Amino acid sequence: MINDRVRQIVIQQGQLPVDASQVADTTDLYALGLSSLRTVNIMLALEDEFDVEFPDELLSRRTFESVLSIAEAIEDLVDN
Amino acid sequence: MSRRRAHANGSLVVETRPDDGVLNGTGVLLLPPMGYEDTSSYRPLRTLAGRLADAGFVVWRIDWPGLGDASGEAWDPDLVPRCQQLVQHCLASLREAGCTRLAVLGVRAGGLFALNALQQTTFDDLLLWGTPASGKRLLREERAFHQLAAKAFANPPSDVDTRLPDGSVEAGGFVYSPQTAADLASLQLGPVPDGHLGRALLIPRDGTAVPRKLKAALGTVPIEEAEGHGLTDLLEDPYKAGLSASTTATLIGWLQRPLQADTRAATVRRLPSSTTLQLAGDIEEEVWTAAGGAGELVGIVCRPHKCKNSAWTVFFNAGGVRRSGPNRLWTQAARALARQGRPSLRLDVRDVGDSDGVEHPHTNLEAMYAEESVRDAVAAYDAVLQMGASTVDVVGLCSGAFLGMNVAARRPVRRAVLFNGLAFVWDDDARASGFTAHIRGSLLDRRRWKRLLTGRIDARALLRAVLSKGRIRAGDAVDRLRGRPPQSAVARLISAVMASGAQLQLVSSAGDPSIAYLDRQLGEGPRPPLHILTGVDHTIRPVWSHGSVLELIVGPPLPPESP
Repeated sequence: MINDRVRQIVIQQGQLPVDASQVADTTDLYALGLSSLRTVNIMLALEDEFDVEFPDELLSRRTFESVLSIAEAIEDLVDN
Repeated sequence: MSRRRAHANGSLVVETRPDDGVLNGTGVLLLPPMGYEDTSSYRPLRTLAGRLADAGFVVWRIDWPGLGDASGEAWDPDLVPRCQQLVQHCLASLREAGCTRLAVLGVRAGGLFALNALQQTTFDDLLLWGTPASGKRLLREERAFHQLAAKAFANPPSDVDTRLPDGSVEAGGFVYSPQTAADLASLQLGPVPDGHLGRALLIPRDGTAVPRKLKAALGTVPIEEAEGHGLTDLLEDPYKAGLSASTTATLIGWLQRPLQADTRAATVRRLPSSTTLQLAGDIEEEVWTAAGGAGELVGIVCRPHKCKNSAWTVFFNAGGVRRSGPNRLWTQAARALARQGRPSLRLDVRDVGDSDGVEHPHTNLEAMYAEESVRDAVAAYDAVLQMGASTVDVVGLCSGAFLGMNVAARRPVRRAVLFNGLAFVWDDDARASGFTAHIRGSLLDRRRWKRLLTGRIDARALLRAVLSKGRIRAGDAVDRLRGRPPQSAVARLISAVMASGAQLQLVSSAGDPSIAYLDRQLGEGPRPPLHILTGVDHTIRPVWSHGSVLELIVGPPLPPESP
């Protein structure tokens, strides 16, 4: 469920040249052409959607490299 | 529309207004983003100013203190107060010039200063585009961008201290000093005092909502919200950043709405056409303009007050980045040279920065390597000769390296410092082949002859291509006769520049494709010296590296000239 919400935001804000069905949980988003600027858009949209704030230590490509890694970070932030 | 440029309060102001059309009396102060966002959005916001002028508005664009061609450096402790003063000064000047209505359009950080200005002054219309809820939020977004982009940089050399002072925020090649960051974070945005603002239009970042805190700061001011669209395109890499047509229409439509009942033509005095910016260290800067093939060419001449030295430097655009250079390095280098007594010109070639040409930076990479751009660069070289240059150095990065190399091949150059050149000949052979194939295919085609004879095919370009192709073939034939493997066009170009006596200093970031390009093109043949910058990306963003880059450009002091 959380993965699908993340996926929608990634597709919308990342403006990736593929449709949502082609973005699997573990697909490397940067390999699909995700830029740093659009990653910031994704981050801000996720913060709005889940009412969380990414701490500095999570602001890295590793956090945003896939739907799964983002969803895991969101779950941790919501739990804490 | 027409543009004029003048210095005000230490900044460069560009006024755009209808040429002969009717002024509607509204002055629009366009406050740009800061840092790399300013670099990206410069050309699209120039286009936006033109659209507004077409609709009857007088538009002023500014460079923030410490950015672009304004005075100041990133580490100056008073940048935020100077930004605040600049906004107040521009609003007062627009009012004094005769504007009957004032609007402020703030993009990203520009919106923070627009809101803050309302604590001290009044204006009619406020437009905020992508403005975050606070200075603190802006800095966080900047920091996030930097951290997310950091993978593009290799590890820095182990013997270099890359740390910045605590509290600094580094983002995309620019830095907010601890004082600037603290001042931005504490910038007062609200509440807007009653009667200080007529109305506001808020456009959020793409796909997001207007921050609640921003709306709260506006208190009882009537607010309209538009869908967030176009900011990401505006902040793209400079050569592909663009202006959203729908957001432009929204902005102009909203500004025009209260004016519809009033069709009186207004009189607004023009900005002075030329001024001088006095800078610390007894140096000054002036706007330079010349007629180019696509319209007006614009640049900045930087020189010591009593300029006796005739060793000039010409800086060329790095891709779609305006004349202040990647991470503002050209402005810094020009001022460092001037402090040594050496003048320089920072040029915008066609299509880039403030020079005329296509409205948006290039839609494809090849356009940045066009012969027309080389001709602009040569025109700038010739202009500095007319200004008294006895020797000329050239500096460029990426497509600017291409321009520098090609100028050095056509004019005497003392020293060429060229960073990360990805191409010194842009498919010349292929393009020439394309033209000659076109000729072969055209010989029996009457329609093509007709287009050539009626001028719809550029006959001179055709002739140049044929000659270029001929030169390449002749060079290959000579090489074969001498028993040498044919040189690439790039190798011949570089050999010619080296043979001319120019000191050719190539510089590449470690791992940059420019190194492989040289390997492919030069093979085992003679090579100019190549300096490797470790730990930096193609556009040399890490701030810790900028000092050594400036040293490379400025070089050792020149011996004094004989009287």
